[in-house]
Amino acid sequence: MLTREDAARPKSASGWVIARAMLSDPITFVALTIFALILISAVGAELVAPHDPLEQNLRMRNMPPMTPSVHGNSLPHILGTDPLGRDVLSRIIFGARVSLTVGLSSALVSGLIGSILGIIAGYYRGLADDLIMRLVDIQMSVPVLLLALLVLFSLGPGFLNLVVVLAIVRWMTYARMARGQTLALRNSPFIDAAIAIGSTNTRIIFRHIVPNVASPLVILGTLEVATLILSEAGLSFLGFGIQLPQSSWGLMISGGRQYIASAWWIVAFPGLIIFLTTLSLNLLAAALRSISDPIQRERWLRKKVS
Amino acid sequence: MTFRKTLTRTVVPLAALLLMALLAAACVAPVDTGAAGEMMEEEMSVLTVAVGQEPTHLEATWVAGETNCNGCRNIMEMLVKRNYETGAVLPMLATSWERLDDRTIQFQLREGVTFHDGAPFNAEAVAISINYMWTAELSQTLTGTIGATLSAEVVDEYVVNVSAADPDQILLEKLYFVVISSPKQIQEEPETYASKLVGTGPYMMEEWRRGESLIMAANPDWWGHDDPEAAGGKISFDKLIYRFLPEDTVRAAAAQAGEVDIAQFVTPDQCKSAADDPNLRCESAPSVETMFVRMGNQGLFADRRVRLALNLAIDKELIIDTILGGAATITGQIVNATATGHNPNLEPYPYDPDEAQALLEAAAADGVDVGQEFTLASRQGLHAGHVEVVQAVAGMLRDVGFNPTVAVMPPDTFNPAFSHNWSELEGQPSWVAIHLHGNEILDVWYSYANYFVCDGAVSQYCSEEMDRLVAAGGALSGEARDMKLQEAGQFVYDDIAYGLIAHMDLAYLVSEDLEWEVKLDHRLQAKEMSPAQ
Amino acid sequence: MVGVEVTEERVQQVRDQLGLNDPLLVQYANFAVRAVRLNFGDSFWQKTPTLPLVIERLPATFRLTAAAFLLAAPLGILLGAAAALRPHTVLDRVINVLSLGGVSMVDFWMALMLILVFAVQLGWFKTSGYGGFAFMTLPTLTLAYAPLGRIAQITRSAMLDEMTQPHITVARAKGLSERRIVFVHALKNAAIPVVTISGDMLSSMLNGAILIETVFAWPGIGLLTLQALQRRDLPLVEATVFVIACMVIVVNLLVDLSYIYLNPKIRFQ
Repeated sequence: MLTREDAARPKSASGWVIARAMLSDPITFVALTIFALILISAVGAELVAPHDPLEQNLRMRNMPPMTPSVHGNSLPHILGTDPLGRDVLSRIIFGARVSLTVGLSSALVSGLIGSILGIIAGYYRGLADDLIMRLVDIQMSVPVLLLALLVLFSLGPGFLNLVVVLAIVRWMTYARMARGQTLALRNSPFIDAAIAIGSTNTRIIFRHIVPNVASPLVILGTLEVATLILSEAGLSFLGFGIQLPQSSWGLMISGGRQYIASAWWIVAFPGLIIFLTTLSLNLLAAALRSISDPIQRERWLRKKVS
Repeated sequence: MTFRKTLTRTVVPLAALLLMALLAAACVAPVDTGAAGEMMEEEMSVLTVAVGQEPTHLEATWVAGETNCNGCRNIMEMLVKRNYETGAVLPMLATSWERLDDRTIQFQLREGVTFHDGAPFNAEAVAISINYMWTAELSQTLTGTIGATLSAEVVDEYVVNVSAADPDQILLEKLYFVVISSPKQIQEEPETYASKLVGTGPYMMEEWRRGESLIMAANPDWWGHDDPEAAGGKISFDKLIYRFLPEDTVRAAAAQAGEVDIAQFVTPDQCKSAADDPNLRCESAPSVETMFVRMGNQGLFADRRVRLALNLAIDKELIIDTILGGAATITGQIVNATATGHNPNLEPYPYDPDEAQALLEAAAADGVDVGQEFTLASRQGLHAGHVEVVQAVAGMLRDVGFNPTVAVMPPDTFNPAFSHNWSELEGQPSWVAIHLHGNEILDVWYSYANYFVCDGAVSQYCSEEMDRLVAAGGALSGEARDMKLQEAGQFVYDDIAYGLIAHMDLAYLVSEDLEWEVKLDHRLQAKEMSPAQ
Repeated sequence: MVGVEVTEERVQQVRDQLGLNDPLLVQYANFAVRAVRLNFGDSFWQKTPTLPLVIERLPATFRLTAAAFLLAAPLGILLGAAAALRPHTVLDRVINVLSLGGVSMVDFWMALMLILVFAVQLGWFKTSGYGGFAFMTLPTLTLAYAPLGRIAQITRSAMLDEMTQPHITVARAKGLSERRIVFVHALKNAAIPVVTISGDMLSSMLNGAILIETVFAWPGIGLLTLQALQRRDLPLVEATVFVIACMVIVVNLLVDLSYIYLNPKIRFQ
């Protein structure tokens, strides 16, 4: 029978392995750096942004990248200006706040809902399982964007509604995974042992199931943040997402698309930054997955040694 | 495991799946408009127009607004037409008319006209068509559009009386918006009324490919062949294709790539890029659309100083020079010079932010809460660059001490919010809109009666004096009407009933192979176009 | 000219007519009844039955998704297998970033960029519209990139798993070339997970179709859905959602059946 210490050991070891492995892999390192930079500039937008993102100057509209600023001593407009003469880079930095907040918070909400329901379904089986998984199946048959459009259509657009809607439409992925993982664990000897020594269900779920299903769910969450950032962009592009006077990356593309032929930078850079963010999240998730999978990790580490 | 087994287990079903998909893709007969269109162009002349909006339905009432139903006036015709340079009402399907009383006009109809389905055009056809528009349960009646309920009565085979429910001095002008549909369609197949147009025009509706295009074919029996003068043009194409391309960028790109002959409503920037293209030109022309700020005289704007401050704070010229690319004219009233009641003495309000700030401070000193938050709303997709205009105006208002919040709303939430009378919104924070107003009737009474009388459908303004002036002007006709309405115009100008920005030009990318002069009404009528010599 | 304004009164009338002022449960029950009868009523604006309006849009969407899938599947499998052949090499890393790029791509942005470069600047393809090769290429490329990336990813990881299986060890022991082992022995089993995700793939391609059909003015079901939503044509919205859901369910069913056929472990039970 496994003791607590035994169960804990591989976990702490993998934490150290993960950090080391991620830093030593060049692509993962770059992805990590990019995402960290975007995250830091979103949090400290006031400090990082070279200009006021709301300052309009119609005489300076649609200026190409590297145009000097009218304020002589400040930085040039590195990524150009938009149709109202606002600094594109500063708007991207402030827009990161909205886009990332939408992505992270709706991933968190949907992750919590999905994981709880998935664990319940996998642990208790029976009616709860049937009900929850049928709901998952039904919702899976409607494409995410369509479902989100439908709900936003009745709730109305806006930041809060967007988070709610994205949480509603994405919980199923977590539920499926949490259920599958729980099912597998449910049949393993240490759970039988826990039941034998008289542990309550709640205790088993929180002591044994949750820690063991957490890491694949976190990886899934990383992927989901990327998907949700893309969904936000799509919905804002269609006019159902973020609304003015707020701004997000998706809305910047949407607003700049009529200028694409005359001022490509207005659309190109927000699109590029969404792509870089989601790509680095995907790369991070892929790295996390291969490190946390014992077989792949072994291969990875062997590769590093040789 | 042998190779055979492998084959049966994976490769065969996979291949079968792919084959199925391939077959299915091939079977679904490709309706190749592009290739077919190009091939046909050799033998027959085709005009392809890229328009921004697909019609929601094809009820004949919808033809009243061009953008509701782009190109539909190629199919449908009215009793009268208008000269948009002089404002004169001219004969079309009616050859002459006589006003019987203040509600009724008697029309003498053109003889020898037939509908596309073969039904003869006569007084009975006109009566059936007009009466159907106001009695049948339609998606949109014309009452809201032209502000009148009409009926028609047969007098003789080619004589018909058209009456308004209430006294109406501009009934004739309003009939420019009433198209005549085939009585055969209305009587024999009314279920097609929402999806098919049957009229008397130079082109016949061939097919509505939903989501894609509206296709029309030349009408060999058109009455206008014999009388191009009265018909206002001639048939120069065998086939018309009006493609629905809602993306501004894509519409302009289609013109640049030579896929369409006309791209409707392009931005000033897109116009500029056409200058380098030897195959394209930009046609930009004034329209009846006027961009204005509807604020009214309630709530925050009950104080005249606040209303004046709003007008002084907006740098109209800067907006026109930059965002609108010069394609607009600064204005002091809501209609342009062609309209009855246009007052030539009204100068645009100047731009004076310092004075605006001083006015707001003075108002604040008298207890007006000038810093209160209000919505500055607008409708999505109204006009290229409109979202930028709204944000620029919000910035300018903020600079002098206003506190607006921008809201760019989709049509289905903006429209009901806009369609409120001031009395319904009492006590709520001000809801100011930057909108376009298009007075196609070319009579300012129609604009004032909607926006500046106490019980106007979309009025946020109320003043007894204005009510009196509008009522008096509406009852008059001719010179007297013009003078009375000019007086009303002076009154709202002095009282600062609204914020004014500019008369808008609308622009098109047009192929050099096409001759077309854009008129004030901006209707995409193929009879006014012809291939370049 | 800008368009006839819809009055508040009209909006209320519409809501009453469509039963939108009923309690939510009543609305849902009514929808269920309509779905069972396959009759969603007439399109609110076009006054014709909605189901045919939706069905007539299916061919366009079907052509686009089928073409995108036909492009994505073989190419994705090939790239995934190539990556698995030489894990952790430069080739693998390039393919990995390329395929993850597909999953990370902002599809509507890519569409606009492709139009700008290939249709306007170079003039190789049509900017938009419905038709043959010249029209289809750009939307197909845009729509295919995401599934291509996913297929490559899944093939690669399935292949790597497969490579550790005993039968591969046996094949290696027999002295077969690595290429033969990968493309004959491993790929056939690795194909199974690719087939199983094609249901999800269709669902995500329909997501893409809403955006891509809008940008390219491709008259498919995605464009119709968006238009129906924008015009608040609820009977039409209901019918489109119903048809799309049916498509996804049917494909999932086919996938389940083929899974049973492909996977001997299940078949022999």
